[in-house]
Amino acid sequence: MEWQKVFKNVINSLINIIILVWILFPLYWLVNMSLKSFGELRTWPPTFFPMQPTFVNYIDALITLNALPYLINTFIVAAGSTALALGLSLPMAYIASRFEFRGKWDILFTILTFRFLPPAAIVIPLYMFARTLGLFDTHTLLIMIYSAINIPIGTWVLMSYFDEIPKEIEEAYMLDGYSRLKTFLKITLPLSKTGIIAIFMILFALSYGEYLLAGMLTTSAAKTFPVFMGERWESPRGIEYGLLSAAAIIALIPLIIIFVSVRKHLVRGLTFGAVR
Amino acid sequence: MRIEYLVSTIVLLFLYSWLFFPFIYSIYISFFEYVLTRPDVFRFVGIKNYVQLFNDHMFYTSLTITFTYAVIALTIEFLLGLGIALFLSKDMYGVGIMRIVVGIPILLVPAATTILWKALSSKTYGIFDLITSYLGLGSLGWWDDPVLSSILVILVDVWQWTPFVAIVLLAAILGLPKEPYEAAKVDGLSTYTVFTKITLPMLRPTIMIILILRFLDLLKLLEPVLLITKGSYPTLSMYVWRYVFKSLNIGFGGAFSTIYWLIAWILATILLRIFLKYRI
Repeated sequence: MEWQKVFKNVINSLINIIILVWILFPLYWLVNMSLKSFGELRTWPPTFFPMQPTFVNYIDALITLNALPYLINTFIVAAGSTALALGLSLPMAYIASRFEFRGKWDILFTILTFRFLPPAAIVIPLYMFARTLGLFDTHTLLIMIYSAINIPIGTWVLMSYFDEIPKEIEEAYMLDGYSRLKTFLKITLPLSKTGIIAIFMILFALSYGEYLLAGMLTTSAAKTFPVFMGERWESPRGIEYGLLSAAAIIALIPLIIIFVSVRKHLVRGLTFGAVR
Repeated sequence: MRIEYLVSTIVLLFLYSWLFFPFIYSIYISFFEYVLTRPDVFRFVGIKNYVQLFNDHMFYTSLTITFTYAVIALTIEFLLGLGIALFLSKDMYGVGIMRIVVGIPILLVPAATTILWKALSSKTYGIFDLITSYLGLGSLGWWDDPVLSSILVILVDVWQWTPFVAIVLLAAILGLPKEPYEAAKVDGLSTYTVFTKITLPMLRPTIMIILILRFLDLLKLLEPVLLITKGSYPTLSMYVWRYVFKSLNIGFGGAFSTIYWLIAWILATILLRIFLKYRI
């Protein structure tokens, strides 16, 4: 009995370590590269620690190349599009999960078909569309398009989460005099908070990292961080691994901070007034 | 107006105005000869662009390759993702941190993920070659070998998007009602029976939707293929990239996206039929 428990713990720890190494080693390597000079990156064998750690890549990215405005653009676009996509997906998913109505599956399927469109194929018409409307190189344009692209994911995944919550729980509250809306806000949303946080995080990250559409539809005022990275990919001396690694980390850190804090606040905010 | 139709109308109107009209325009343009380098020529050519597409053997090659990538990557991502989700749904020491760490690859900008794996597999200063030279295999040349570079493309996708599958499934597992599990405990069912008879059926809607979404996104695979393989194994997106961006042949690009959309539409319909059939 006792050794069985020990064995189980050892196996669990082992799996944990494998997952950690698989995910964290590449990230560690990113940090390692970002702290090396261009010359040191090109030595053989590659070293696991920077011999002469330098912040030159970070300084280059933030000060010399002035990347901060692009990072701010990315944030505005990602936050705006995630809010809009969730604002439309949440009611749609809830209604699809709770109501039966004519044409429901046709509507849901139509929503899903918008996920089929390859960005590379619609970018040219979108470009002309944006020019005509005077929306070229604006935050609004990217916010609208990203939320449209992400609504199919939001609707379908959230629907599957709402499906898991037994209807009986809601019905009990509605018998107590709760309106449909109040039941949704006070009972169903808190119960599905884990799923909502997960989907928030995924949609935010998808908009945050999108490259192809942003690259074609922005030039300066709304240029996003991935586009900035794409432009700095290569220089006359070769691929800029150090600079790009530093840029990637600059983009990653605020995102991690946001998600850790959103997790906390959203969990607390949504649990307030919940049943369990 | 009833609330379900009001919400559906708003959502559909939004999607139609931002995505559908550009798409309709690209279908319209697919019947014209229109190359951006010669903007004065805009001539109706009927189905010529489609004939050109169906006579191009590269189109069939990229179709096959896209499917091969999609099926292999999806299988790995799903099995790994489900495994990780089940593992992290257990109550154990440090699981809260693990649930955050597992999500990090999604947060990394995809272009950065590609540059990272490109650096890891680099011929002159990459860690992969360091390992293989320790093992006495010498330098493998990951980028130049068509098979190795394809493995690399799948590896990049698996590293970045398995967490997506894992997180969506983990949230679904954590949201499952507790009662069936308590009943199973009372009945003394084995872990395997609990998994196949309780967890799996309840997860089915989420599993199906994650499979469809990942599959559709894999059909659009572009960045790692473009940046790593030098096009030795081109995907459909790579094909359209070449014709739309390199040659600026908008008419042909329009014909391609119409056919691409049809293929995706048929596939998703089939997948969805299966999904609806097994729903509860």
